[in-house]
Amino acid sequence: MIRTLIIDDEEPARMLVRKFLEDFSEIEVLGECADGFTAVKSINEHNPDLIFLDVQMPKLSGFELLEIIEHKPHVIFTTAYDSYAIKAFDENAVDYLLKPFSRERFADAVKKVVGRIASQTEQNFTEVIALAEEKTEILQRIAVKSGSKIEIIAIGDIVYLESEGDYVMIHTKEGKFLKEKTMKYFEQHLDPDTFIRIHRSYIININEISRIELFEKESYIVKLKNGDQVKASSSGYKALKDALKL
Amino acid sequence: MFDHPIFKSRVLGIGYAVVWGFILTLNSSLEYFYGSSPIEEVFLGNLVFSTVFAVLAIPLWYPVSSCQKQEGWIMIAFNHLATASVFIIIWFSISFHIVIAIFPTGKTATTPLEEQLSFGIFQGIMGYAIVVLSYYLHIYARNLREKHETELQLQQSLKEVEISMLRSQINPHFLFNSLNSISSLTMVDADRAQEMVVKLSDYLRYTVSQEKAAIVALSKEIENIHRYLEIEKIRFGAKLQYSFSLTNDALAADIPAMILQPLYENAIKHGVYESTEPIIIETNAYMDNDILIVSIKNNYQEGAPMGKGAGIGLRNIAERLKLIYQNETLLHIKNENQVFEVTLIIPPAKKSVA
Repeated sequence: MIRTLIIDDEEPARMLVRKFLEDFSEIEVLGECADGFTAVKSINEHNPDLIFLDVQMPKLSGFELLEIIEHKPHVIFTTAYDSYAIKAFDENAVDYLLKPFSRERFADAVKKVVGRIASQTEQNFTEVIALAEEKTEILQRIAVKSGSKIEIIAIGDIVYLESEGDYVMIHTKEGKFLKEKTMKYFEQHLDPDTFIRIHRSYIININEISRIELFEKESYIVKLKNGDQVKASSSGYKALKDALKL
Repeated sequence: MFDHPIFKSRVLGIGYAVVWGFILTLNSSLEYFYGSSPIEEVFLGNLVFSTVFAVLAIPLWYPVSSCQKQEGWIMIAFNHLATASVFIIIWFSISFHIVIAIFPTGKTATTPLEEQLSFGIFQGIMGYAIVVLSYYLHIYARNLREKHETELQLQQSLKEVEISMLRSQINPHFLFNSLNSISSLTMVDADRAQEMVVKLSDYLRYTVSQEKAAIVALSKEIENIHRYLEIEKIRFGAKLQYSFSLTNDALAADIPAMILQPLYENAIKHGVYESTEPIIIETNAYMDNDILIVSIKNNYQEGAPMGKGAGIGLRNIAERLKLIYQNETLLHIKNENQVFEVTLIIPPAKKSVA
């Protein structure tokens, strides 16, 4: 039996998948989830073999969900996103259904995954996630795993970001969280009017600055509202001055 | 001191110096060929008079640039007469004394003052007039350029508004998701599927048939918004709730077609899409004398991007209202305690519409 979860915030959409799945005796539907949070919990609890995943969902999008689940099931995306965004999925080993979809198209996707499960071929998500990232313009939130919990960081709560090797430490008003991403990624995906890269190792939220002091020639210390102090390089200080319109 | 064109622009600064150099050369040559004084005396004398004039003429910019059109022509003429008199007296006496100091026995020192004065005043008036006129010309050219630029900008933004309005009329996302819901309903509840197809068709017909400049009764708009919300209700179920409180005179009032639609789309996109809890959209409309007030408010879940304030949709509405009613204060946004409220103030319709 292929154990399956249906994840979509719209009930009619879930109903349709369930209905179409009745044609497949080898598939067992474990349940339905109406948002990303419940889905992560359910996936970690049941370890399904296959999930039907909507992209646009409250709190946690389909892509964000894939980033943080530990157990990676096979995925069939169901989405109404334009074919331009979805085209690139063709290149990757991920199946997708463009809403609304026909019974035949649905059957094709399921058969493909069934065959892949039988031959024990892994799906490769990394490129899909990278692709989704490329398409994201400005982040509205950041999902991080902290222990067994998932934290959703509101962008406004970020005080500053600090480079930690292959990771980035996100310092927020509530605490700090490690995320496996590059500084460059955040530099490109945070609102450039609010977040300024002032140093190779630091991106700061300009609303969280309490004071800027000259440290030594050509270098400055930025004091933040949470008490932390970070260094600004001369080019970083220039960018900061521009952002603050000094 | 910094707002002066010859300091702001290098070209104008150099130009100013070149023109004075030219005047100096011309005056010196004329005086040398037609007079009898030695060349160094002619040149230096002219140099003093020209330089003092050129320096003193710089601050004339400020009275010229600050008194544009506020006063009548008589007042302006009187002002210039007064300024010119003072200017010429100062210029002439300073230059005169410097030249006498340099050449105590030269032509300037020996010729009777009355003889020089008439020519000096003539030169001063000419110079003053030329300088002031070039300042006016500069201001005129600058205003013309600025006007041209704002016109271009206005046209550009008009185009953008038109384009984005056309785009926003039917959101493909909404359409495809609705079709997917219908696809689902055909399998489980054919009657509801049929009902939804009709609603979607009515909605699309209304949306496509509205000209962007049209003015319609609020009741027409609300009817269409009802259809839209009913379609979305099938998708989102209990997560989407709405209520309307509308007075009869408000329903009869005029409103630009499709101006409310983006507000409901926003409430759904940033409220319902991003929430796991029920979102309630409340609409109120009433008349304040002959002005229609429509307010649409919805709660939203913490962390939803709704809190981020005016997006493209809201900007477009504000822009459209401004174009139609020539008033920038018709859209009000309130965002507190996780309730987002937009209020539109719609004046009585005018005969022609942008």
